[in-house]
Amino acid sequence: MSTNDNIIYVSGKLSRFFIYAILLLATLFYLFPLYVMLATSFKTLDEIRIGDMLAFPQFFTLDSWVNAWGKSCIGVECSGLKGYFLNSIKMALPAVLISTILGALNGFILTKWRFPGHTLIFGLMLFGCFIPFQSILIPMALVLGKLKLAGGITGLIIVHITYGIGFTTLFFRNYYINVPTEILNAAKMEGAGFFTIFLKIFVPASLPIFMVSIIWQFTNVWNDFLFGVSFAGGKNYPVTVALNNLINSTTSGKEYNVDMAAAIISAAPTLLVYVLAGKYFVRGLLAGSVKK
Amino acid sequence: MIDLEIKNIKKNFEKTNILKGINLEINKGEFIVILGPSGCGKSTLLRIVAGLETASSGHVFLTGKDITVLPARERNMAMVFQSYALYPHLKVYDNFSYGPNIRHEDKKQTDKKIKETAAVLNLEDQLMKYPKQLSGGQRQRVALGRAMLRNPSCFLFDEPLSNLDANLRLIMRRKIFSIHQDLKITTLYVTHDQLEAMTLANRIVLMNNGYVEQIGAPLDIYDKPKNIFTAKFLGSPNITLLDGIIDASGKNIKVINSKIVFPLSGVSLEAGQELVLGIRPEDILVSNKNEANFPAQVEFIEATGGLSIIYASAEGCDIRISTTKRISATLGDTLYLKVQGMHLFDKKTSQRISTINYQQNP
Repeated sequence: MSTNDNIIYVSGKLSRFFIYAILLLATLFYLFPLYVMLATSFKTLDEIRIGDMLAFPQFFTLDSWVNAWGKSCIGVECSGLKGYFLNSIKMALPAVLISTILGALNGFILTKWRFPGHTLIFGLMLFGCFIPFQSILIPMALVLGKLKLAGGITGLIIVHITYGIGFTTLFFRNYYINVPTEILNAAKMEGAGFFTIFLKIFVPASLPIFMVSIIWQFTNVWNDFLFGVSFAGGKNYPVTVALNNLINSTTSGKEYNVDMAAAIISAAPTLLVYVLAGKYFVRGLLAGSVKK
Repeated sequence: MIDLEIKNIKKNFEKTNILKGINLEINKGEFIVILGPSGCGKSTLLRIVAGLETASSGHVFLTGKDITVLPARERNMAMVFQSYALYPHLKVYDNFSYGPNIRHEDKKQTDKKIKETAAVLNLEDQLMKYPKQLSGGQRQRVALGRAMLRNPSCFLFDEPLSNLDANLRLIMRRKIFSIHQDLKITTLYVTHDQLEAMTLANRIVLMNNGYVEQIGAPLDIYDKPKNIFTAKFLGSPNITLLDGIIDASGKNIKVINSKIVFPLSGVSLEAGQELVLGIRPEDILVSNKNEANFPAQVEFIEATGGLSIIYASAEGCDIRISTTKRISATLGDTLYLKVQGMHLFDKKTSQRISTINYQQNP
């Protein structure tokens, strides 16, 4: 064949090579902090003091993980993160599920079961997304106090649901607005009512956006520090607040290995969610942005 | 026996009147086509009958029972949509069984019915596919099958064939026709395609601008259009419309601003009466100089093989002629035209006064 084709082929190969090289470097750069954290968490305290930060652990030990999970002192209590980790689960699961379900219902109603004033309601919900967290701390604390829910996990759940509804409604509304209304009409003609149509047609047809909503909400709720430190107290703190307290309540010098292990434990669930459901996240976010 | 009755239905969207008082009585088993230009309110009327839209005033009766405020899901009607509206996440089989399942119909019975329906519609091999894997024609057949499985008291079609290509449209039209022949279920069919209306309907309801212009059997409407709109809307190519006036003798119709004159026959009109003459393209013959009513210059010829359509101009008037003869004429040639018949409309009211047939009364 002609030499022209070969040149193009070679230069194509060469540019591929550079692209992959750059991507590989970027990946290493991003994974670098994770490596340092993991490596440090498996080292003994002595090795950390003498060795260099980047070295691979010489005496591989799980002690710091055991300590971070069940023995380290947080304030005066020396039983590790495990209780607080459980708090975070107890908080995140209901908050994520309830806000997602409410968001789906809202999105369904705002697009397919409209009522007078639906644009205003949606506008107010959108507005809710942009209210800074700090500005609602005091009014929210007053409301929770009145409801006798201050300091507990239930109160925290309610705060997260309230804050989450704006976002989840936005997700589902934008997804359902692209579902043809005639599908709804067809189901009505077949004898289906409001909840039948919602549960049997709209929910199964919107799994990607459920994934987006769940990942988004889970990340926000799990990683939240401000609401946790403001509205929960004592034994009810979520793991993020406990991590902060653990790192700050060292008695005899910094235990970097324990801190690192504790940080990884705290971040693990959100990492896991992204690894397991990340592809749905991208798919769901793209859905509707391009006409199929 | 009257199955479906629409009584003085009106619909306003804010300040626009979409429907301005529609009355319609439909007999059991009848195939009614609601025909009209886009924006005439025909789809709104269908949606009110379906219960997907609420009327501003008026009533809908089904077998004597007032169903005006009954929710769509309780009306036992089946609807086929232009966009098919299949459930995208369900396979064809599940699209079929969805309705029967939520209505808690017997599963074995449903399965049997689905297989029968699929056989009628040649969909046996598609049952395990998703809607997105099907062609447009197959999707429309699934939508049709889903409506059939409803076992409805009434079929509603909302421009069901508009998204299909010409050939498929013809095939589906015959399918719908034969299904109606078999099931004899009262059908309301909305379209803007006059060919579908003419071929499918027992009666056509011709709508315009929120009103019913005329109701009647297809050929009755074609032969006896009530007014100018009806005459213009049905027929392809369009009817030729000329302004005319009864001359002083009262015996002739003179076309305004021209020397063309037609004898008045079969009806006596006052001298000076202003008219609009409607001449169907097939009622104009290409003739010879002696027999012709007037000469015209050819502007354009569409030869489609079986039928030739000639656009001509006579003293500034546009004339449309259709003929099965092949005419060998080119732009600017003079043709001598003979008119076999025409509709006379009152210029002021647009209503048809009379129809002249020169073949019977030469």
